[in-house]
Amino acid sequence: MKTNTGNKIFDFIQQKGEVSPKEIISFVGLGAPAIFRQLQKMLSKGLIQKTGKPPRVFYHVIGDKKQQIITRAFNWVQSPKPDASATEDTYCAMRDVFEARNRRVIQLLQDNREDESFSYLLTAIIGELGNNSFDHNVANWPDITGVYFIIDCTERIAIIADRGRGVKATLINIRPEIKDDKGALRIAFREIISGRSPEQRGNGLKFVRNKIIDLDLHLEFYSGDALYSLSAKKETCMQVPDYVRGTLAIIKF
Amino acid sequence: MAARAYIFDKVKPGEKIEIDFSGVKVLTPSWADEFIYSLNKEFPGQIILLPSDNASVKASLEFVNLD
Repeated sequence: MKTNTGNKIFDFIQQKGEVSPKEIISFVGLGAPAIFRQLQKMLSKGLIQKTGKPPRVFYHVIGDKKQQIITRAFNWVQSPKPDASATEDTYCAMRDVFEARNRRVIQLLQDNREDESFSYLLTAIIGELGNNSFDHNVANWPDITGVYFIIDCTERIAIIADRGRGVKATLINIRPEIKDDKGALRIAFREIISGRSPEQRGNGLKFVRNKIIDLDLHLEFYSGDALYSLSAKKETCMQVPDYVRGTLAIIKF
Repeated sequence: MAARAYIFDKVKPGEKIEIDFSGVKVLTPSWADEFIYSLNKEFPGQIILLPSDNASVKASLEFVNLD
């Protein structure tokens, strides 16, 4: 049975996906010995697990790894100031870092027994989404530049996120009639249009849409207060309570 | 920019320019759009895209308009 303090710590870890002892101590407001006693109880009961080595130790809830991956990505894109050291494996400050990591995806997928064509196409989809983040926020990054990029071939999930201006802000200059984030996402994925008009571009998200359907994948694309959700069987665009100022794309494959 | 500096300054009027995608593993439509569209604008009617079996090349070239 978890105590109230234990519940509070467990809920905090579950909500955040991955937390350091320092974050738990700061959140709960108790001394380190009390916190570590609670953590030890939960570890021994198999409720949480510990990863890393001192001084970089993190606690996770045991269970849905895919959901943990998603929660960590949302934390990065939504927190006031993400912890850069905690995300050095996933944060790509510059485009060439992102492209180098994306190039490794081909081998990663083939090592996981995906065929060549699939590995090239998924890499192209990820490449389009990531490069869009850089292309549409050049000299306009509100705070942290670059993208958050993770792929897990066991959980079959890839996430690309940025803390940029979001889709509506990049399209509204050329389509001032766009009323909301939902409308912006619908246009972005269905029309050939570019926030960098009159440059010849604007096909990237149409390509992503086509390939997600052709390959029978699943895409969730968040920007502002809207979610564009796509699979071979269904396509929806809706308002959601979770606000993402930039963009966050989740591909399940 | 490299292609323009080293290759395309030598193109004669009317000469065909073949773009060969052999060895390319991943082509995205954004890159294809920018490179091929610009080339086609500068050398209208001279661009030939050689066929490729690569899935991402075929998929990306569907979005490139050479008209």
